[in-house]
Amino acid sequence: MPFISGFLEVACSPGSMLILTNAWKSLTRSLGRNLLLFLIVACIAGAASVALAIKSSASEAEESGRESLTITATIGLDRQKLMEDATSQTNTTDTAEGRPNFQGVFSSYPDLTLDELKTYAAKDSVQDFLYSGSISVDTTGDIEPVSTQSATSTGDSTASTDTSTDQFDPVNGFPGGSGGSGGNFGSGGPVSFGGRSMGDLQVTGYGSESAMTGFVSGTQSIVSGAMIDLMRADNECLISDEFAAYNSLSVGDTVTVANPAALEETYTVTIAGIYHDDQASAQSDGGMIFSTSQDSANRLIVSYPTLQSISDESQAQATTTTDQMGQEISTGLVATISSTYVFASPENYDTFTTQVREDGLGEAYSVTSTDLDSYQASLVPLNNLVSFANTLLLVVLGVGGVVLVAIAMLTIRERKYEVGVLTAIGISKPKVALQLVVEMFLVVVFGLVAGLGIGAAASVPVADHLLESQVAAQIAQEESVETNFGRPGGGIAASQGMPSMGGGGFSNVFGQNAVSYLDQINATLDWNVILHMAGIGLGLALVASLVSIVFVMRYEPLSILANRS
Amino acid sequence: MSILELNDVSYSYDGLKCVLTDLTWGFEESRLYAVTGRSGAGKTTLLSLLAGLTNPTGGAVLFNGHDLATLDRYRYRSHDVGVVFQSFNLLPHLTAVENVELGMRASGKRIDHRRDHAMALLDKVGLDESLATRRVLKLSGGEQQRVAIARALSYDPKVILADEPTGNLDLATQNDIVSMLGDLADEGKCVIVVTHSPEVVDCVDEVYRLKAEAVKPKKTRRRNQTAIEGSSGQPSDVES
Repeated sequence: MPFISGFLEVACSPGSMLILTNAWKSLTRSLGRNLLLFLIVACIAGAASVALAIKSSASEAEESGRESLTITATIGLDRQKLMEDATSQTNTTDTAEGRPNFQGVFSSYPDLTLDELKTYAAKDSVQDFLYSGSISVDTTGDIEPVSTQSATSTGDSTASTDTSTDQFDPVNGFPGGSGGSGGNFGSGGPVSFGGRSMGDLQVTGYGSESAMTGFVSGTQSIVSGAMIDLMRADNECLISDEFAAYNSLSVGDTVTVANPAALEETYTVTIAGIYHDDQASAQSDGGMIFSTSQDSANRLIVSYPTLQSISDESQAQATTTTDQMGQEISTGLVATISSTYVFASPENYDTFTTQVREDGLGEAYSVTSTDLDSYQASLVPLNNLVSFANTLLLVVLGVGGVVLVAIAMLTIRERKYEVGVLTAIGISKPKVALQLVVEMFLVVVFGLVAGLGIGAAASVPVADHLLESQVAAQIAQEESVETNFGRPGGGIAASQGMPSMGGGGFSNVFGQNAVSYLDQINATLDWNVILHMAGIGLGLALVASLVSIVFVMRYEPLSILANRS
Repeated sequence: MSILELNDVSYSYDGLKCVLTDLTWGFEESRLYAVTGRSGAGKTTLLSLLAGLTNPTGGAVLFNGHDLATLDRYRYRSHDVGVVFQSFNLLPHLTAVENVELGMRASGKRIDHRRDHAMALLDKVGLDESLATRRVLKLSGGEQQRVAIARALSYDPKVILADEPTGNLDLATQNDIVSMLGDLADEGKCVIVVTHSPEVVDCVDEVYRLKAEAVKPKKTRRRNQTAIEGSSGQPSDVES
C-alpha cells in the first residue's frame, strides 16, 4: 500500500507542521461549516454514549445481579410429566373410569428420603442444604390451638361441636357430615390431607439454623428462654408467644401432643424458649386457614432429631388398615420433608442439575428453582431497554455515518479549488489529504468530547426514565392479562406470594417468588463507554476522511484551476 | 545554458486537440521572457507545462537538463518555480500575508522570520500592513495580483512564471510590476511572462510567440532583445 506508506511518511515529516497549521487555520476560518459538523458529531456521540451507557450499565446490573443471586432449588416429583406419561399409556390400557389411575402412578414414586436428598447435597455445586420436617399432631388436656374463630375446636376431636349442615365452616372444615374428628376436614375420623391426618398443631423439626428462615430473616425471634439444640433429640421445643399466652405456658412447662390418628399415642416436649413471629397474626387474619395447624402460632419448633425420634416411635407403634380403595393406611406419624438446595450462582445450579441426573435421579423427579425463573423474569424490562439501546445505537451510527459522509462529500467538492491551489503550489496530494483528515479528526474529537458531556449529563435520567417506562409497560401488560382472566389487579398482587400450604421450601428468605423487576441501573459513563465512543469516533472520522482522501487523490490541480479560470 | 528547455514539446488534450506542436525553446537565468499569442494559442498550456502542472504528450520539458516528467514535480513546483496564476489562486480564507507564508511553508525551505519576510515582500509589491493582514477576498483584483506575485517570490525560486501578471493592474502599477520582474531577472532569475500586453512585451529580453509572426518590439528594455517564433497546434494560429 504505497499510499498508506506515503501518508505515514508525510505524517512523520517536517511538513507535518504545515499540515497541522493549515488544518487549524482552515478549522478556525470556516467556522460555520465546522460548527455544523461539530454539532452533528456531538449529537451522534451524545445519543451513542447514552445508548452505550445503557447497554454497559444494564450488562453490569445483570452481571452483579447474577453474582449476588442466591439460587434455591428443590427436588420433587414431576407430577405433570408423570400425568402426561400416564395419559399416553392410557390409550392402550384404559381404566374402567376412562382415565388413568394417577394415584397409583404417583404412589409408585415415593418421596425422596432425607438421606437421598443429603446425598445430592454433598455435591460441590451446593452451597447449603436446608431441610426441615413437619408432622401434624393434636393437642391434649387443657392445651388448645390458637384460633381467632368463634367456634374453636378442642384438642379432643370428639369434643368439637357436631355440625350436620352442608355449609362450609372455615374452622371445622369442609361440609360432609358430622362428628368430625379434629374439628377440621371431613367426618368420622381424622382429617386426611394427602393421606395423612391433620391435627391442631404442627411440629416442625429443623436440621440447621440456616433452615429456620423466619429467624434468619428476622421475622421471628426468641423473646423468652433459649434456642434449642438442633443437633440433639432432647424433646425440647420452641413455641410462639401467642400460643404461650393462649395457654398460659412458660419456659420449662411441657406440652403433650397426640397422634391425630391414634389419640392414645402421646408425646411430651419441654418448652425451652418462646419466640415472637411478626407475621403470625397477619397470616392468620388474612388467609383462608383450613386447620389451626396451618396457623404459624400453632407451630412447635423442635430439632430434626427430636422430630425423627417422635416419628420413629410412632412408626413403631403404628397399626395399618386398608381403605376401600385397597390402599394401606398407617397410623404412624410420618414427617413431611421440606428441603431446599442453595447455590452460589446460576452456573452452580446448572451443574447441580446435571450432576444429580448423572447420579441416577429418575426422570420422574425434577429439579426446580423458582427464584432463578423470577430473576430472569425480572430482567424483561431491562432486556427490552437494552434492545432499545441497541436499535438506537444502530440507527444513530447508521444515519450519523451517512450524514457525515454526505457532508464530507459536499465539503470536499466545495474545497476542490483549495485542493487545486495547494497541489499547484507544490503541496503533495497525501499532505493535502492528510490535512483534510486532520481537520475531520479535530472536529470529531471536539464533537466527541461534547457528545460525551451530553451523554454524561443525559444518560442517567434518560436510562431511568426509559427503564421506568419499560417496567410500567410490563406491569400494565401483566395487569391487562390478569384483568382478562377476571382477576383485576391480580398480576402483581398474586405474585407477591400467597401463604403456601405444605412444605413450601425456603424461598421467602432468599427472595419471594414474585417478579420484582430490576428497575434501577446506574447508566453513568465509564471508561468502557468512553473507549467505545473513541472507537466509534475514530470509525466515523475514518469513514468521512476516506471520502476526502479518495476525492483528493482523484483531483488534478490543472483541471481544477483550468475549470476555475 | 538554459535552466528550462522545451525539447520538441507537443501537447494535445485527450489525444485529439493538438494545442502545441514541436516547440523547442530555451530559457536562461538572468533573462526576462515574454510568451505571447492569441487567445487559445496555448499560452496557459505552455505555462502549465513549464510549471510542471502537466506533462507534454510529446517531447520533454527539461529543468537543469532533467526531464520534468522524471522529477518530483511537487518539489519542483514548491521549490524551484514560482507561478503567478492568471486567476491568482490564493486561498480565500487566509489573509494576504498568510497566503505568502503558505508558499514559504510549502517549499520546505528554511526561512527565518517568515512573517517579517512575507510582510517585506508584500510591501515590495505595494501592499501595506493593513492590506497584508486582510483576507484576500476583501482585496481588489490588483491587490490579489500583488499577493500572488509576492507568494511566487516568497521562497526564492530560480524560475518565475507569470500568467498575465499585469492583467488586472493600472498602467502605473503595471510598470512597477514589469520593473520588478526585470529586477528579478537582474538578480539572476529566469522570468517568463505570458502576456497579451504590448507594454510588457516591449520591456522583455526575449519574446516567444505562439504564432509565426515577426516581432518588432517598439522599445526594448535590453539591447539584445530577440523574437522567437513557435507554433501552436492550431493551424489558423500558425504562421510560418
